[in-house]
Amino acid sequence: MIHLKNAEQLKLMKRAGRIAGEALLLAGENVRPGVTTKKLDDIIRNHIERCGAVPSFLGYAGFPASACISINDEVIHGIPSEGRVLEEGDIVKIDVGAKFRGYHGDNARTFPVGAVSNEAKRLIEVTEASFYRALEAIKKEGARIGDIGHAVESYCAEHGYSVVRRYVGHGVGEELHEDPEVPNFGRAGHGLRLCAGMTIAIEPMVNTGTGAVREMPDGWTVKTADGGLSAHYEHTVAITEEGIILLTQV
Amino acid sequence: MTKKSTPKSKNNARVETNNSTIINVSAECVGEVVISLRGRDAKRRFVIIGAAADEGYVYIADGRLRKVESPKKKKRKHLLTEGMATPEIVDAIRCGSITNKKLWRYIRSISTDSDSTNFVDTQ
Repeated sequence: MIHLKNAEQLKLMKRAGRIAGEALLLAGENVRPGVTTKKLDDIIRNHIERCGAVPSFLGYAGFPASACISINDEVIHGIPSEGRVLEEGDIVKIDVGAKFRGYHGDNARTFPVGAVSNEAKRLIEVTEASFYRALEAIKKEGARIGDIGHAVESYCAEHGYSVVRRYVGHGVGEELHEDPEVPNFGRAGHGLRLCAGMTIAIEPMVNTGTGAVREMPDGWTVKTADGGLSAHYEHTVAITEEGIILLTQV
Repeated sequence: MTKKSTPKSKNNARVETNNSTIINVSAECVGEVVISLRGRDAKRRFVIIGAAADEGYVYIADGRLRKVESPKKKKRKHLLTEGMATPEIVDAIRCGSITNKKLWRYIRSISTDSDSTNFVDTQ
């Protein structure tokens, strides 16, 4: 069931989104060779708690940390740990969620660690650009969920990349994962019609090789099946009568 | 955090939504007690728990035949409005804390034995 949000709820979601966005930026500023993923997780958790919110991911379905931090071929849901140290040339995906007065904000970005290869740089740029392609696609009147997936997938395919199909974007609100599902693939003009009051997380996950992924024995970490690089970009987006609002934009 | 796709959309180029109930709990009509006039639930009493995205449609539930988690989409013109539910019920619907038990208990409490719109099956 999709619960449409009113102005009051959107205001709270904006606060939650801002906190999540700031935590992500703060973590991004601390991304450099030699930093452990646990350290980044601590920075994120401290910021969220200082703002009077709680980390959305901590304890969610048993997830043990405040942020998902995934490196190189890890696509999503990497668990931060003391033993995981960032190295020059890595690309690190940080996914952060904050819950403020009952509402969640969810966002993610891929950061380069020091100087990275041209291939990695291009992957990050294409992933980010595919998100904005999706935004363009839903600005038009009567847009549907399929327009998002079509925009993301076609843009990535143009650049020789694949999208992950096993994991999808989602509705966000009082729950971290709400209806509807927002896949990064689909047919333009198909699927659920978007309407004012919906809040969704659009999150392209883009691989250099195939879109196939495999889950690790820890039950969380998801890696690319072929060992290729993967990038992730996400914002929580509100659809309103006035237009599209990026709730997690700082 | 990314959501694992349900099998329906897994590796399936066709985007389908398995749950397209779009419900607006902020609409003015939320909390109205109504009696169904058409369909298999005719003559039963319900509460409007949200407006639908389509104009002229609302979602109704009574906590028993129509549960809060799977409400019935119904045309407004097929419902007879009796008035508003108590503020506690309306607030619970608006903030999402309404339960089937609470709703059914309320509907029972406002229905009398002599009520012509009372339920045929209350087992």
